[in-house]
Amino acid sequence: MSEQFRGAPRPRRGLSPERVATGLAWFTIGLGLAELLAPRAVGRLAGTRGKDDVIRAFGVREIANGLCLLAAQNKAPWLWARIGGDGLDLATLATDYTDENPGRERVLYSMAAVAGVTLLDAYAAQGLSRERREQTELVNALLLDYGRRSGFPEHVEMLRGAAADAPVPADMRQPPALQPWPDTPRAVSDRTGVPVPGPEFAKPRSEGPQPRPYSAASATTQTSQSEEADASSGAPVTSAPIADSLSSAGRG
Amino acid sequence: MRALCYHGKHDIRCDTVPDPRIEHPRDAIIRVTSCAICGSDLHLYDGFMPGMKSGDIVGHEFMGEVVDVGPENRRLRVGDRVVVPFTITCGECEQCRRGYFSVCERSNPNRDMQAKLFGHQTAGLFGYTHLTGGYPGGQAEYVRVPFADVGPVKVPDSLTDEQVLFLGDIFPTGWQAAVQCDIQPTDTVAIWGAGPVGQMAIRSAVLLGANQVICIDRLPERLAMAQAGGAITINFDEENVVERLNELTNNKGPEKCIDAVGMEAHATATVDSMYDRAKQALWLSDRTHVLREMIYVCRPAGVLSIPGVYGGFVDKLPFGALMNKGLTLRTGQTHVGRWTDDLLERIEQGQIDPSFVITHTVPLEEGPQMYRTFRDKQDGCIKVVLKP
Repeated sequence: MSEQFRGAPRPRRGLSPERVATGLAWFTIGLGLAELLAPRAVGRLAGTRGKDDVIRAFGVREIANGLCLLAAQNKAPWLWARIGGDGLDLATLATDYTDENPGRERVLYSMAAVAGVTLLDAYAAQGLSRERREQTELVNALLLDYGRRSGFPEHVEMLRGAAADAPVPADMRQPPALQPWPDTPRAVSDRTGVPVPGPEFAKPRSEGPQPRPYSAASATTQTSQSEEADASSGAPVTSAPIADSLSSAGRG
Repeated sequence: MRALCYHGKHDIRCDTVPDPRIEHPRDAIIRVTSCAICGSDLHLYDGFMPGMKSGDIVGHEFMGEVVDVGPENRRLRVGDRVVVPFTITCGECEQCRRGYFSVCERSNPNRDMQAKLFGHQTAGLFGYTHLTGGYPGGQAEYVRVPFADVGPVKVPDSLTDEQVLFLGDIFPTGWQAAVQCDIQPTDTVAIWGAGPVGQMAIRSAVLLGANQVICIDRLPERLAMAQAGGAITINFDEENVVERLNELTNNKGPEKCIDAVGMEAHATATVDSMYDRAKQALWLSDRTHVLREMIYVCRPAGVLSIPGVYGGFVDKLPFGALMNKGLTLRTGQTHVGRWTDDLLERIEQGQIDPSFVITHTVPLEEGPQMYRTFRDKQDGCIKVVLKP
């Protein structure tokens, strides 16, 4: 037997990269909304001056990134994009880290906070990239292995139809009266003009129970008797007019 | 003895329970050597099957050695190696005599409870809901087999457990699904689901001579196995199933369609699948995306074969399309005993080796974890065999 795959992947201890990524997505959406709606307050908190428009633009970027992070199946590229954004944040903050800025200390704290978030971004991005690599390797190994598991001793085409002689119970077959007609030989019904199968198809029907002749006067009695007979013999129920038209077609 | 027991949704445990004993003169006690987790066990695990009780022993696909027989059982002897069909059949009632073993009229002691739900009773099943008798199942070290002089299939020592184990369920189930399609040499057979039953249905349709077999799923590893068995594959995450099926059949649709998925159909972001999920959570409907798609795409006058398990009601079924297209619907639990002689012979002849589907073999104690792995389709899991 082929190699077997055993056991589920072990759950990682602590915070999984997936959970960190989701947390970062919500954090970034929250920060983005704050930057977009209250840029002055955010600027004051970060120790920057006169950068309201830049902060608003950063807010839009954060919200877009957060939404993409939440929606994406593969979150790693969006986390790497966040690291790029963190770099931009740090560079912008650095321009305000001057002796003239009374909020210089706040800028320093803000830069430390951004650096901390960058570490989280890097942890999640790296973890998710590694998981994806491992998953791809596993799927490739599985494809190679399962792709060889036909269950057949020979090439599948050598066995196509090998069990065509298997007994198919009558109750699981299409009832004979509803089976598709063969293409050839063909004939046309004298009465209706519809194409019907030739005598070969009609022949086996004569081997079954013979339908009683139909007459309008005794239709009710005839039908019930016919049904009883068919039920007791287990043969398919066939109404007289259809059988009649088929045998007529056979003659045609 | 040790056994896997149901304790609620997503809660299967390996418990110590009392050993089974002979309760009726026709019984036998089997020491289980191999058992498997079936896709329909997941319906219990996910809490979609009514009538389960805490402590029920689960599992209905098992085999082993006879260790005790009742005084009226003259067919089995201690030491016989047998595979036990998942449907319990008396062999004497009118339905059993007609070969409709899965609707045996005597083997379900809770027939009144089931008749209230379904109108009439069906056969008792091992390790399933109390609606089907509440019989202790086979994911255990030992199991009591009622009516054991009728169902169990004696298997030769020349074949391994892995080769014959699936005669108890998935192989005959896939086979019946294909047989009841009445496959003709010109037919295209489309099979939804590349799980264990789908894989068996693919091989069965090929052996029965289908011109073209197409399998629909979303997991690449399952599709790879389907392809190895001779199927053309459609990944429904990447392709439109209806368009692709029409393309492969000159816009005529497949003549024969098999639903090897059942009540927990998964679909990607389709409106109807989200609707189904919401309704299933309220016990208002099974998830029927596959049935809808089959009815829609099947060639008029074609056959729909449904081995996939459904438990209750279905909603928004396009019955107008079904009726106007003149489709034939064939379904039911498997009449296992109807097929086992023929299939065992085919395994002995080497025509097919059903062990190809096994991806995980673990001790019984690891069963609860494997339920989760199988449910989540992790680690390439397609079929789990447990060794008590």
